[in-house]
Amino acid sequence: MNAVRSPWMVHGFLLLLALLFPLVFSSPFMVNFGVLALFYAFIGQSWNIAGGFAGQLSFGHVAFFGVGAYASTIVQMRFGFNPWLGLPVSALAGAAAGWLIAVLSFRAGLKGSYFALITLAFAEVFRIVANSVEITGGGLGMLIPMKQTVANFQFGDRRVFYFIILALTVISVALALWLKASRFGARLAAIRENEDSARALGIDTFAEKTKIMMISGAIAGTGGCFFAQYFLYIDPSIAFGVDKSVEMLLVSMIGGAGTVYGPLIGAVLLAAVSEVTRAWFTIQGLSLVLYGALLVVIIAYLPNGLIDLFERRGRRRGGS
Amino acid sequence: MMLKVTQLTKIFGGLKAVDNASLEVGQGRIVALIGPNGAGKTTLFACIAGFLPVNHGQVQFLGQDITGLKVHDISRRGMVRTFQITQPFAKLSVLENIAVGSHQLHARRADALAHARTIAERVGMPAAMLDQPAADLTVAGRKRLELARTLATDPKLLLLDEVMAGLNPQEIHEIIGIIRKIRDSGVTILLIEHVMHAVMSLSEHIYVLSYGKIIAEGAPREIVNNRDVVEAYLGRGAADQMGAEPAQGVEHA
Repeated sequence: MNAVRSPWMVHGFLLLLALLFPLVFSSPFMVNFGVLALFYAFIGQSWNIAGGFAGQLSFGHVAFFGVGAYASTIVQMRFGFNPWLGLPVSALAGAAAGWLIAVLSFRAGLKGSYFALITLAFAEVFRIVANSVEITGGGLGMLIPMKQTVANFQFGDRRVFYFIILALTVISVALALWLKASRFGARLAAIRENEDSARALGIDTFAEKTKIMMISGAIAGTGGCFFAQYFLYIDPSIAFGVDKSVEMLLVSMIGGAGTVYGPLIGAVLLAAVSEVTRAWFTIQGLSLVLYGALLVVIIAYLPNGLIDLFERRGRRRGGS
Repeated sequence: MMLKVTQLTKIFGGLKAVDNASLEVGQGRIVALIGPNGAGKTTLFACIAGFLPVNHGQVQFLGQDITGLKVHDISRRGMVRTFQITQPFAKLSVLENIAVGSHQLHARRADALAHARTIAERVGMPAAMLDQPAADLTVAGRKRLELARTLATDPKLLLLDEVMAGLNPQEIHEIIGIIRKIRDSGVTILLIEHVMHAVMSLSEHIYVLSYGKIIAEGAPREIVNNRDVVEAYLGRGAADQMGAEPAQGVEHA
């Protein structure tokens, strides 16, 4: 309760640091690192609000990311939409995918590891569909032509991407903060802890879980749009690859699932591991090996995530 | 009539867990449902509260048919159950646990937390307990938390499933007082209980369930002298052997 005022100072300070980062470290490597870290934080937060806050552990969160990435790219390439419009389109598409998966699996009463497996299966189905239909360009993927104008969501200065993903991340953190302090968030925490009790106390668990999956899907979908515009290329294994699902949940779990800042911490660490291994070693997939080792260490020594190191007061993750 | 259960039957495979059971609970009363272990009491509760679909029969709450409604719909109408095996939101604090119930009435977080504090006070939870994780509570604390959470939803009818099991005599004495106070505040109570002296002192009307059937009903004094009830607890022929004091037999069962 008495920690209510100081967080605003912390928020302001963190935001200032984040704003200054690309101005101080302006090399392409560092800007790229910043973009990547924020991107991980953004999609990690998407996993976190469903998996960490509401306890709906998904193993196929990339499904929403991929749907968003394809939705924005398809409307741009096939229907001539302005790429900026891709952001809301991909959010809607991600939310729709979240709704579909939620309704189908929650109607069937799937929980825990069954839910994790069904989401994994959905992501694979989406990948195969993207591989086989014409509108996605099939296995060749889609290349967004280079045309660096602001109206085209492409910038000569890569730092603009940094500020865009920073804005998106700030929105996702604000959402997480709101969840922590709202009735909806309290209900999600109740569902995570004990679904039967939640129902007994009058919570429509099906509706609440579906809602959070849609919100989570919208965030991951928006992340997909950003990714496509940043790299200007997507194909089925990039858009729906298992590795991105793993990264999304790792970011959250390593940092601290169910906490507001966990994904931020996890994202910085994961981006660092990923970029450093890419820069220093030529072994492909080495970063995944290191992720695995990191996860083992975290689970053994900091089961609540790295955030425990920062929150000395030892506060539990909770609904308030 | 607060609650009216008519000819309710629940079948698991070949077992009739609840067999044509009917009962009524009038407004403002404390009614007990007793019976030997495995009689189907908790199953009957689960059917009434919507946790299990019924095979046959009807549940009326405040004059309306609620059979087949979803658990949360029934809960929002004002009939809320507790669990025999306590089901706290383990990682949330005690106050946050209660606030989940309070949120049914209060949309704002601060209002819900304030309401949760007053509820905690009503069930006699000390303020120091409120910031503990629910997982750290003793059995007595957990039972109280079950009660507090349901009470926080502002129910009209509470279904209490063995809220005294596992408590020591002092704790039982306290919780009896709390339950009376809850009733006096206008909440009707239907309770399952094995602690017989509590049942006898609390309830105004008792239903006895055995092998899924209601075998007796009446005021506490009538029930303890009922042959069928004594035999249900102690076996056939027990009533005769007990001789003059069948009531004792029931109390210690």
